[in-house]
Amino acid sequence: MDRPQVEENLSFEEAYNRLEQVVRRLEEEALPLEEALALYEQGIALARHCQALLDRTELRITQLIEEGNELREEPFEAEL
Amino acid sequence: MPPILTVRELTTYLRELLEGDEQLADLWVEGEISNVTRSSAGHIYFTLKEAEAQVACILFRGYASRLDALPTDGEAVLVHGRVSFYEAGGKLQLYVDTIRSLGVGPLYLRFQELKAALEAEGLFAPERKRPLPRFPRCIGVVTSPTGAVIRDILNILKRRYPPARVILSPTLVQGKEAAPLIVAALERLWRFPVDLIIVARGGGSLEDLWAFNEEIVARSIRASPVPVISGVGHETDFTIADFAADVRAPTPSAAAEIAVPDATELRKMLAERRRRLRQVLERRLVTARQALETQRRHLQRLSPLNLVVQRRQRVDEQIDRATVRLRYRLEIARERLEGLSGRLAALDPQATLRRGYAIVHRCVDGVVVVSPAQVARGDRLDVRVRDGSFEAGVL
Repeated sequence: MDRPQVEENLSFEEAYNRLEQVVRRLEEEALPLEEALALYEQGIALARHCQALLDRTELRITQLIEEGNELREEPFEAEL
Repeated sequence: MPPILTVRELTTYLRELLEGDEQLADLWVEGEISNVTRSSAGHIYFTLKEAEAQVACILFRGYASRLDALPTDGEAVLVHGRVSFYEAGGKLQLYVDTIRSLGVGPLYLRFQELKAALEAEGLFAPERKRPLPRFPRCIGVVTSPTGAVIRDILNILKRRYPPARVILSPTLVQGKEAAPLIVAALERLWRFPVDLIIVARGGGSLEDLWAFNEEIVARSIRASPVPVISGVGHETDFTIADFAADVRAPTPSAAAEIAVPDATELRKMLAERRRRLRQVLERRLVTARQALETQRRHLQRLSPLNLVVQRRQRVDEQIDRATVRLRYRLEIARERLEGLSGRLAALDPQATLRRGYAIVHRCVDGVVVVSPAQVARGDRLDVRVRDGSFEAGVL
């Protein structure tokens, strides 16, 4: 069986909500074993994805700069 | 060549200059109170203001205790005291001994009027407050790009929820031009995919925070397409912006805390979900294994091999029973044989001889003599006894 993949750019919210759904389906529905196994693997992959997002230490910060009529987004260098 | 003074010489000179002025030694000043703080020693500090001017004031504990009511922010007052230079603090101060209230100040009045008007319009109605997204992807921050406020906010966001993206929309947060700039900064963010906006400013006097009491700021906050958290001033400061916001946070740092979930909590929740996943799957596997076992047993019962085994068992049982029966019969036969042997032994002539009897044969023909009529005088007889035989003659 292929290892289930989670899209790289899946947001934390999306991944977390899907994880909740997976847990609920597994807990509440009497699924055929193979389907249950696939769901389980998917759930674990989603949990890993969420974990990886949380473990990322860099907060991405930009600031808006308006010059004339142009609005630009630039990296914001803050001494934290 | 002008004289060179030490700092102390300068401050002493200033103090003596001020204290030498008769008018400054005993005067009344009218103004609006702001920035009231009380020191741990019980002295009260405040600023006396009007439009573009202010003077620092101190009311010593002794005088403060004689007042009916302590000064409050926004109050218009007439104070009495003297002016001097506070050398250690390097500032001119009004040493107040009496305060007379002239009622609430004009700024505070404007605040109250605007608040009442917007409230009547329903701008602050609870049903207009939007819920905050649980996991905001992108957070807009409207505040000054320098200073402690933005640093505190970014630190908290970074610590609590690193997956977030932050867009700072910088603005002035103080002064006459600040309100329209705050509105512009807020509205610039609407062109970006933010899920949530924090509007923040550090603590200050009613005047310092005034931009956040302007109607255009309140209306812009209400018009925001995404929820707005206000974090303006300290716990006790309330601005019109706070009432208009979807959520009012007591401080800028608190606004950042409210904006995002806590990664530590989330990690715990994730671990709990993984545990539940594993549990469910384990239970599912146990059930599957049990079902399989039941089927296996069922199948075994129906197996043709099983029939062979059963028959073999029956044959074995038959063999066992036959063996038992055979043994029994052998036993009986042996017992009968032993009985016969005993009887046979009793009939053995040798046994009679051992008891001292003799067997007599006629030598002529070997006939056993059992009657005197069988013999005549002179016949030779063969006598057998236990240990052998000898010949004898009839007399």
